Amino acid sequence: MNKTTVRFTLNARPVEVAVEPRMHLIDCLREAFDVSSARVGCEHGVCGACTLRIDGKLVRGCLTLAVQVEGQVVETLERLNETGEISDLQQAFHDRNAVQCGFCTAGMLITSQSYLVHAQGYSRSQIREHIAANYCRCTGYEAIVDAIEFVAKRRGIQSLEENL
Amino acid sequence: MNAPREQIGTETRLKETYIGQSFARPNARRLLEGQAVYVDDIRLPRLAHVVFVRSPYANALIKAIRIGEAQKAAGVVAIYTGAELMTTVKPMHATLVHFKGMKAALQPCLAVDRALWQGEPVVAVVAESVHQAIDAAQLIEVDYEPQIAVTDMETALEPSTPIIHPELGDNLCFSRQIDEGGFEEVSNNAAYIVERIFRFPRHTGVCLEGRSVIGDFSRADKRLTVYISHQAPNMIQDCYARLLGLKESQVRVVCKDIGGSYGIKTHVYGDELATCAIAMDLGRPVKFVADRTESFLSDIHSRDHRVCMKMAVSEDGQIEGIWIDDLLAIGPYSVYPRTSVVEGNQIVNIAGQWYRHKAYKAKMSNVFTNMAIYSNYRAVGHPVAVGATEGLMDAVARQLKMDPVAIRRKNLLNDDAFPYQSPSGMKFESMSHHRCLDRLVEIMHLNDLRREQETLRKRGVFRGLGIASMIEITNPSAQFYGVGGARISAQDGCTARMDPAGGITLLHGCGEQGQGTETIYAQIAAQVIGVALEDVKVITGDTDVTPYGGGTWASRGAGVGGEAAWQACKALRGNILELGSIIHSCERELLDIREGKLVNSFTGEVISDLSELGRIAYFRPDLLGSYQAELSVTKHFVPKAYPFTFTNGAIACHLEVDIDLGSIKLLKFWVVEDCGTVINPQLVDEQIRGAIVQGIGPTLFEQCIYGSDGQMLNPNLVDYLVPMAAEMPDMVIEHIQTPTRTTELGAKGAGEAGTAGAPAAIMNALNDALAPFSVELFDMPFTPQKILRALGKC
Amino acid sequence: MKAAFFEYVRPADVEEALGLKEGHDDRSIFLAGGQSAIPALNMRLNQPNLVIDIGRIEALQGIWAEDGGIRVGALVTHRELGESKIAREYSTIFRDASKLIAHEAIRNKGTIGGSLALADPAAEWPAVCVALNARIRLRSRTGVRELDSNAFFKGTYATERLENELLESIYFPKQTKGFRSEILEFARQHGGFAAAGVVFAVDTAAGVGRSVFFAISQAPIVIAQAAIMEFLTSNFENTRAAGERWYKDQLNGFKLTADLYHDGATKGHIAAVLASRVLVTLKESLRVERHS
Repeated sequence: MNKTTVRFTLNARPVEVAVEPRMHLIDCLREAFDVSSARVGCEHGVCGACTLRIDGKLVRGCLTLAVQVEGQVVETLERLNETGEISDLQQAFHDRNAVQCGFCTAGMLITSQSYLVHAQGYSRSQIREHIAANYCRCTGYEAIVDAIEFVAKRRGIQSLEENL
Repeated sequence: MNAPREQIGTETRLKETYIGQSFARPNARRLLEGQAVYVDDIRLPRLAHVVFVRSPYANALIKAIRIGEAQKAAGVVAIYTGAELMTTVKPMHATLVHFKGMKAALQPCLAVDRALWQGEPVVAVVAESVHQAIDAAQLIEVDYEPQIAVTDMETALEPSTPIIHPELGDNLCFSRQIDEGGFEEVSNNAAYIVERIFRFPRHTGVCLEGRSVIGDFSRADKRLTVYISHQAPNMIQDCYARLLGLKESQVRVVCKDIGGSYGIKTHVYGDELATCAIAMDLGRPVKFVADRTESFLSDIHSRDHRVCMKMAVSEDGQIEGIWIDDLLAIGPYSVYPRTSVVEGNQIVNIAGQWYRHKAYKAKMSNVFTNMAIYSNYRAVGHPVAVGATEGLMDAVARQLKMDPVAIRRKNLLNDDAFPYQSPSGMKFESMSHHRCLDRLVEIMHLNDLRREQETLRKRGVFRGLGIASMIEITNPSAQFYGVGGARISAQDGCTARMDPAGGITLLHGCGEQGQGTETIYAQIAAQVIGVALEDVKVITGDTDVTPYGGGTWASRGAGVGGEAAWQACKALRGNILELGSIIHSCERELLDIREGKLVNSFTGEVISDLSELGRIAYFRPDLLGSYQAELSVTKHFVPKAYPFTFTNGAIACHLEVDIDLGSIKLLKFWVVEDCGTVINPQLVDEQIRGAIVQGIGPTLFEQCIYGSDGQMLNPNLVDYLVPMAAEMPDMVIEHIQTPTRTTELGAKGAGEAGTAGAPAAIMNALNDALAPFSVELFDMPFTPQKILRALGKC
Repeated sequence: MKAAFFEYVRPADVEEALGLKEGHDDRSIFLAGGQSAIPALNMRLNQPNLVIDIGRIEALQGIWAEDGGIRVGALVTHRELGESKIAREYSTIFRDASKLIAHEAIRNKGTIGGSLALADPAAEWPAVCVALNARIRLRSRTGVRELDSNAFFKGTYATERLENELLESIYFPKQTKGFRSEILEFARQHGGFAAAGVVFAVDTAAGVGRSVFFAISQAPIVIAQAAIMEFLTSNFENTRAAGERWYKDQLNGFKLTADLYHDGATKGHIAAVLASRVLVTLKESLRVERHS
């Protein structure tokens, strides 16, 4: 079976791998690079467990062929963890018990970080709409919303609910 | 929150230092940093992958299997049919003797000669990679001769319906009847008979991590290691050993991180078992991970019920008799080893039983169909029993024009009525229904919400308030499975050990799937022994290492597992003090352990570090004379006083119905739950929240939809709707604590109650919202279409 | 669920892409954002021999003003279209519609061209295009043709695009001064597929309008409204109820397609309710405008 070589940046390191074109990015990251935080939950783009960052944007890893990321910057939880950019979010998740089994957590953290980075203001309902992209079966979501709200406040994002 | 009670006459005083506090889970940190290890993350040399060709038909004869080109396809290692595996894998037969009259057929791990549900595994294809295995699987041709599929529970027992297992005589798996107190006579004399029919949809767990297993057999060691995403490692050890022809000691089961389980992963699945049999045959590790479609088709389904229920009621609203007829449709096999009858059995055991009544008549019929296999899932049966009971109570209230809270206050068992045996034969040790209901009404500001409801109705905005009282089975004794002949342990064990440097290690037979089991045991150890939480390490999930245990199910982790930890830590503490008294030549009563140090129990003066005791015990035993230090203690615990420890609670739902679109917006939930001693309030509350949302699922969204040909129409996440964040409400949780007196810890279980009560609360709130239209709905899930049709809009 | 093997090629330009397509015709697919194509590949619903990745072809990107209207490249993502100032100046409908599409991660990759070419009945862009009388440009090796979007969507996953054509861009023509556009849909879950939806295009000056319904039938349903201003300026006590009745009546004449949870009658009802609510919204905002 023919393989294509793809070169990209993975968690701040330049990498190169020969993959079958049919292989989606999650499988490639897991098998070729042992990036275990890249997870598969449904492979049809609904559950969000595979959410990662490509060129700074949220992307479903299972809906991306590995060969499509040529020249792009791919970041997974390992990278976000390393840089410390979500250390406050991780702490809030931990303190608030917004993680139980942990399977949704990588995708949920990356999605939450994207919300916090782009939000002009925050509200609980807005947070809920944003993380509606990520399926969690354990928490029922409230603890996750609490944790994100806590970090939003700490990061100085304006509450949209203040005058209600 | 009530303070934990003091023990008299033991060395252990319950301090409020650890138990009762919301510590963050030490073992959750790695999940947040991308270092979780689920089965699919495990790397082993020569790991091969197995995928399964599955029956596309609900019922079909398998006329021929043509492997053909598949054998030679790239990367293929081996291919197995059901017939081949039959020579090495015993079939499963899931019956329990205490379910009298129960019938079930033998189930091979892969289908042999016929497939009886869509998704049943037929051929196993092993290859170097998953992609190659799937490519090869596509080349396999199976000749099926489709048969009529049995899918309708209402007609499953009719003579014209084909019998799925002719040797069983009919499609009845199990039926049960209870008749206490003469319901006929009571109902003849009752002022009112209120009857309703409830439908609960078949649905499934949808664990985000699909079922996963690696079987790794060493021919040299003659040992099978099973890495599996599962809640009961010792049960898997026992079952796999017997089914694979191995000795128990030849099987090691390892459970690392588990990506969601909720009861789905407490069963033995044919494909997982086959994976291990294949590993034994090949002598190299073999992995199976269920993908999402497979999960929908081959994980157990649950809660497919039609319930007729009626209450005989006096003029002034007292329940005099309860009658229930529960019909449920399982799959073609009884699932091994817990069977597929526990759910229905529990329903007739508990329906209505938290209300005072004299007469109880119950009938339950559990029928085989050709839909997916079916068994226990979170809150087993309770959502149905509580749903029907509480839905009917509100119907009674509406008919008698009584307030729903008032009618419950009139009929709930009094808080001082315990111990109590229900007409169905259930023994309740202690409950607090009235205190919970009173507190619930208080925290939700029910009267304010009622006034607001009235105001909004005039503006064409229809909100509803629904309340449910609930009970939940936890901490089961051997009555649950053991007496039936199942080798599923009701006991659990904990080894508590002080290591040379003074740290505490616990080895425990219960497991961690995210609910915080390991954390609460650490809290128990910290409190009982007198050390810091961070000095306690908890190890679970390895049958080579941890004491024999039952695992995590029926919310037994805190009440049963916690008690075993408590006892082991108590004993260890005693041994440490004894060692201390020997070393320091003083009376034991003079010593205490506080914050990891041996201290004078009266003055608090530090005498030595625990590490010093450890140094002497492990490395300088010559200083101890004839005394042998014992710093590793194992204790087991099994509930005996009661068959189950029942918890109770009250739950409320506030929602708004858009009567033009038929949609429901959930505004808020409140729960007041009594689960005895609360070890870690945040963990318990989060269990309750997650459980509520899992109860909301099938009430509004989830359903395994089947065509009449037995095909599941929605085995994917686009068409099967799971609860997502935007539609879920915030939930207020409070606790009443009535500790069980059957243990020193006093903890009851907490993991399932939310799922038990949420459907009832929503149903009652919906019918409350629609009361102005004289409309009642009892057929879940409450989709917009059903609501619109009930309102006559389309 | 792993995709079957396929060859993959990333052509540098449209001409190369078309050449590759011609060579492989119906055993090849164009890959744009992949948000619909890749699930189908993963689940082996689609097993092409060749995947032609057009996702980086520059000529297919961008949004620009043209003859008073705007032209949108096929590869413009839902997010780009939703955040585009040029698009926003033309109409708020792009911002409003894009917000309804799935979630951020999907919107970052999914494209309008992909959405139109797929013609999922529940998609928003086909209805938006029809409502605005957009023209869809298709290019093949033999040339270019522009189709009125009103004639483009034939049914579920069926359009007028020929196998050897690439959907290149969409032209939204100049609208009149009094042009207003609104979208409203009902989805059971935020970001989920719509159970019913409607796009309104109203010329408040000329007094005419169209409502284009989606997710209730195989292809968008257009209801022309010569008398829409009657609803919008009337003193009907209950515009909403009257509107619902009117739309329900209109939709009765169409074949509505059931989904797993909503049969035709339910779809028609929900669609009528949505349309009547848009009427109320339009009425209210016009009233506000008149008074300010």
